[in-house]
Amino acid sequence: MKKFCKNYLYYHFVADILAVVVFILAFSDALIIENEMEEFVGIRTAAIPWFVLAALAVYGVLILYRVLYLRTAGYMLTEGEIRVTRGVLFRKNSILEYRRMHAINKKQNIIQKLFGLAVLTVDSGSANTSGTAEILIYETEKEVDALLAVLKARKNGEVPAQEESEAPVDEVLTAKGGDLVFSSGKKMIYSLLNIVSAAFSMLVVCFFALVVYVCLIPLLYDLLAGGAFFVLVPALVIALIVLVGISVFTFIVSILQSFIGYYNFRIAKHGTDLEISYGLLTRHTNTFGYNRIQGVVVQQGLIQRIFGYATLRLEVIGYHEGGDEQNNSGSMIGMLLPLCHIREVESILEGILPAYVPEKKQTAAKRYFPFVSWSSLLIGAITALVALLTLSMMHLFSAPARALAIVRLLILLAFAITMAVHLFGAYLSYKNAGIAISEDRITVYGGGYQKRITTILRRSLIAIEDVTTPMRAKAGVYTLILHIRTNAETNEIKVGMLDIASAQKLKDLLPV
Amino acid sequence: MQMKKLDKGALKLWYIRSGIVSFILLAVFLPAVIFIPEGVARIAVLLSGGIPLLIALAFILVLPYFRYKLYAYGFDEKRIVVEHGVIFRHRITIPVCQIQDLHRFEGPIMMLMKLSGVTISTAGSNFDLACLSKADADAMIEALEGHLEKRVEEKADEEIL
Repeated sequence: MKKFCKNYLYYHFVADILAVVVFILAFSDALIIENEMEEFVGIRTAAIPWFVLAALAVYGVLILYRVLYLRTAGYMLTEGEIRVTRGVLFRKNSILEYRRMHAINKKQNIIQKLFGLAVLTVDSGSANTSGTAEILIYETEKEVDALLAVLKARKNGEVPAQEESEAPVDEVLTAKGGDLVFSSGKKMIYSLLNIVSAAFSMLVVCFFALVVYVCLIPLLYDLLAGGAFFVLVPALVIALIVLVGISVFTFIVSILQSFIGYYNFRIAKHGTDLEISYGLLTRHTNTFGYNRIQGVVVQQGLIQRIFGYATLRLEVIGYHEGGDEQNNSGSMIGMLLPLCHIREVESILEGILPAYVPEKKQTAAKRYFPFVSWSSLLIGAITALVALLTLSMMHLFSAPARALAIVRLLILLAFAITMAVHLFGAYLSYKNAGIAISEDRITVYGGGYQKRITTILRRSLIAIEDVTTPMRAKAGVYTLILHIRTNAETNEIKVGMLDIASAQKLKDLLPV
Repeated sequence: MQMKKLDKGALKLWYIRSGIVSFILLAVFLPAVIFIPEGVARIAVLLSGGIPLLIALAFILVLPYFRYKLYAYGFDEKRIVVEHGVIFRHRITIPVCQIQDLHRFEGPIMMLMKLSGVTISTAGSNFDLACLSKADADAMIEALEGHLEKRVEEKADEEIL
């Protein structure tokens, strides 16, 4: 067994200092002396040596763990499989056949880069264990690159490149001028769209706050001694300041995400594999076979839709956005392209994944009512219960009539606003919902405020779940849940409110 | 395909579970009411806690009956079908050829009542069949293993052809 490289230890000498800093901050209150008014009086100097000792002990334990981890961990490439042993308290021996390898990922954050360290993770493709990396190796960057090349070749049953005269050449699909390039211009648009989305959400909140305020003016008349106008103006100014503040914050986060998070976004074709890499502070390099791709998702938020943009994502087991070294599962499924014009989607997919070009919607949702019926009933029941309890409590404690009227109005407004947001979301879901079925491909249109067009192949279907209520069945309306072969968090695709013929057509596609 | 009902023990098990949950809820709520002195505060607690508790208890105690009545499962050489749900009726179709592995599970009460659950693992999702009798669970697993082997051979032949 080959041991992990020592740079792992040097990296943690630095990285674990952060953990100690967190420890110090968490317990720093214990050093401060305060008077009865909770004002700062001084520092418990006698406790400082103990405090330092405790911090050093924490650091020592962490480093000891790293040393033991390094001593016990190792990996080996055999003729047909890769073997990895790791873990201090709980030892884990992983054996993965090359032909079963799914996504091979390389990750490297900025501190790891300083120490020339990189992390290699390999996923077996099991949907149930896709949350954690089955194979994890800490090695020097050079060694990880070499391992990547060897594993890519062995996965496809080829002789590793270094044993041949020359390495296979990647076809870079994000070469200059193509639709796939995530250029600086697109990064700026991406950031601006995020700002507009945040500002729009805030404006909606402000609008509803204003509605509530205007409705309450007659009841608060006595309290608004200077008149409603004098209260309204400062409130609007504060709202505006908050709006600008949030927009600026979103702008900074978006700029960081698009320029640093997606720095040097690169898609390359390597034989039968696709390689997607991006990131400055943490560099991700994800490699997987074309045949491992289970679906392509075209996502459009409300603002993206207005301006005609979309995000392309990939359904591949073990390929997530986010997650850490040990844990693959992130908040979102893998990225194919952060931003492109909706017009470009077809040509991009034609060039890179022609089997996954979304087809035009063939069947739309049959009725609007089922999108709102049960959820509205639930919102109504919860509101009624809240109103009943709050108002009876207030009666019980003899609350003044005006307070009762205000609360009654507030509950009513909260219900109206929730219903308005819900009904509009349901309307969008109704308009978006639909399906296109061909011999080997299924395109599912869905989502409300966030529109999703998911294209999967027939071979990805695992099971079909038919969901209905007696009334919907009577009206011939069916919802189907398609279970597909992918990550445990995203393996269900809901197809809303189909007619019986489309539902049956879809069910017939299930390969038995 | 002939659909089967669950073992009657399943209904008993679900009622036992509902009883335990109801007991815990009441054990938390009743002392709170008893120890609060009589007056407005007690009425307030009775109202704020009692109404949601009554609604919850009604659901907890009524649901098992309908759940049992509407639960059905069946399988043949090619597929497994599970029907469940009270308000929203679910009908899941799982092709036998998609089975990765089959698990039998038993909790402590299930063991006492000689009941077993079966988990059907596929490459995408896990599907649970709740509360079969042990004999039924074993028979189902054995039959499905046989069907799976047969389907794998048939699929291999189809690919060759």
